[in-house]
Amino acid sequence: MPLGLTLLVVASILVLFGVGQRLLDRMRLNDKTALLFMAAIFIGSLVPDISLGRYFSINLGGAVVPLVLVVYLYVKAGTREEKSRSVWATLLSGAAIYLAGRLLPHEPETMFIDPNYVYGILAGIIAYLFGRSRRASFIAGVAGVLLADIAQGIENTIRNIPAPIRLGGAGAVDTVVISGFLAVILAELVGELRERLQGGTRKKHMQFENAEFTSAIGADENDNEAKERDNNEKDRQ
Amino acid sequence: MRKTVNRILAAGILLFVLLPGTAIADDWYEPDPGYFTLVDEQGKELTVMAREIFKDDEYISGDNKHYKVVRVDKAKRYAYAKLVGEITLPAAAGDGAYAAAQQQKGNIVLYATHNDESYVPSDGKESIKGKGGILDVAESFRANLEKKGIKAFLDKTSHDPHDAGSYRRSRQTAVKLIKANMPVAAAFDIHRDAVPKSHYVTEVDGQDMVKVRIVIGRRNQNRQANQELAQKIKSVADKTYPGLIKDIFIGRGSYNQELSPRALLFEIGTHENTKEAAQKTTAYLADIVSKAMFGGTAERQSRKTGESTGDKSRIKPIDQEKTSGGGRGLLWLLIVLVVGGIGFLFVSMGGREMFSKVSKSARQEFSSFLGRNKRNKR
Repeated sequence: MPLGLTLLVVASILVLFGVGQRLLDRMRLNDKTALLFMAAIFIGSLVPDISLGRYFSINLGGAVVPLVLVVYLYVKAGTREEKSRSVWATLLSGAAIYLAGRLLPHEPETMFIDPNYVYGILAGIIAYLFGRSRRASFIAGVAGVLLADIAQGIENTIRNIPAPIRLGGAGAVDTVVISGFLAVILAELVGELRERLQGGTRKKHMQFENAEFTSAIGADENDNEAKERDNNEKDRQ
Repeated sequence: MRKTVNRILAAGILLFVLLPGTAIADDWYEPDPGYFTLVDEQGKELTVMAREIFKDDEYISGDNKHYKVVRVDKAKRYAYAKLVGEITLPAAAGDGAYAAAQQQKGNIVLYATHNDESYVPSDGKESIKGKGGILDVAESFRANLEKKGIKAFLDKTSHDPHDAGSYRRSRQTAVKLIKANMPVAAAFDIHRDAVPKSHYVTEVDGQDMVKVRIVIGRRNQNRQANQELAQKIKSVADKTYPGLIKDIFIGRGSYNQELSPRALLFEIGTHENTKEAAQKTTAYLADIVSKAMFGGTAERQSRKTGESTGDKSRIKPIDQEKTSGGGRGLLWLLIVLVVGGIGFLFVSMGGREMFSKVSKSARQEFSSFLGRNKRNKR
């Protein structure tokens, strides 16, 4: 392959790696851990799929590593509410992605956006409606696609369709990974826009620590007190 | 709880609004024209295709005229295209130009995203789940490539059901094939069209054949590189088997072509052609692909008798052509990154804060180049 095309292939991989690292960096992971996870996704993609039966298999980089990340983010979720939101967003994203596969037109050109990106956008919107958090969006984006694939596998078994289900089979460029990243980008964009429209974050009195808002600076306030103060501020306005 | 119910309702409404509005089938088999007709500015029919055409799609006709779609009448399934120029296909090369490439042939990988697609006269119906006639055609193509000394690999994995998830699933097949068969010279996705057969009927060597359409996705960084390969293939076909490569369509979508700068989608005939004619065509298609990719001698043949017309020329391998696909692809990536990055910074910070942060970070990053340290020392 000529040098120009080789450079193009390398640049495409680097762009995905770089964007992915920056996005993971925004979710309770420091620079180095985000880099390690991205490396694990890329290296895991090169390993052959792990068989889970006749028609099911799973890819290390495309599904196992993102799932480990999903579990980590879920366990580290700040509150019970955030956890429950993530679960709801994941279930609905899974249903939406499964339905999108059925209802959207078959050819990529007939869609308003490429099928590889439409799932991430659906997951991002749903996760934002529920959680308004990057973490919930990533969880819904990744787990939503995997759930939809599992649902497809069940349908194939029932309807006797001899098509394999390869969870995350395309590795780093699989819809699972792309969907997770897109959902985060969308949550970030919608969140920032909303914040700008309402004139700053409602959590501005709080302290941002380890990628999440904790208590107010210098004081141990609980959520109710903060909400009360927000309401008072609104009343004054 | 009420909040959760409200959110579920909101998500449901969103799905209801977004999904059915875009639900249009791609494989139309109704007797009523279920396909799009592309016409030029004078209303002359250019082609028909069983895929939806959109504004800004591009079309390179059999006689190498380059059109751009300017208007679409969705209700009538008509698209209007403006002539933007003529495509100059790569010329033949001098003697011996291909010798090196012949010895380093990469592998060619084949798969069929819609592997249920079938040929009605031979297979009995237009779609057979998991084992459509298209797989037999792809297998013939693979065997014919092997006859040309190219290592070719076909993955028959089913991507059923034939729905919007098919390309998502075939993406996994394409990646698996590329990973397992390095170095890969090209990846081809084999399809058949769904328009009346008259649009795809041709004759080569006095035998009934089907025409081949090349489809390129314009929504990815590899578009230019893939278009160059498509044009090279068409130029070889025009020299050896004129008319066999029907045309080139550059449509919305990516068809997983962002995975490789040497990836194309072939539509080999239509559901109304016989599978046997499509299989025979693959022998000529393999010859064309082999010469376009790895070089060779193009010998023009009479369409009626199949005999040589004596018109011979040397074909340069695509890798030895002067191409701009790599550079343009890199530029595309850079533009997407820069525009995306600036857009994101603007949304999250606003113009003034963004400018201040960017200039501050640039001053810090390049302080030694800008002489800042020197000034500090003084």
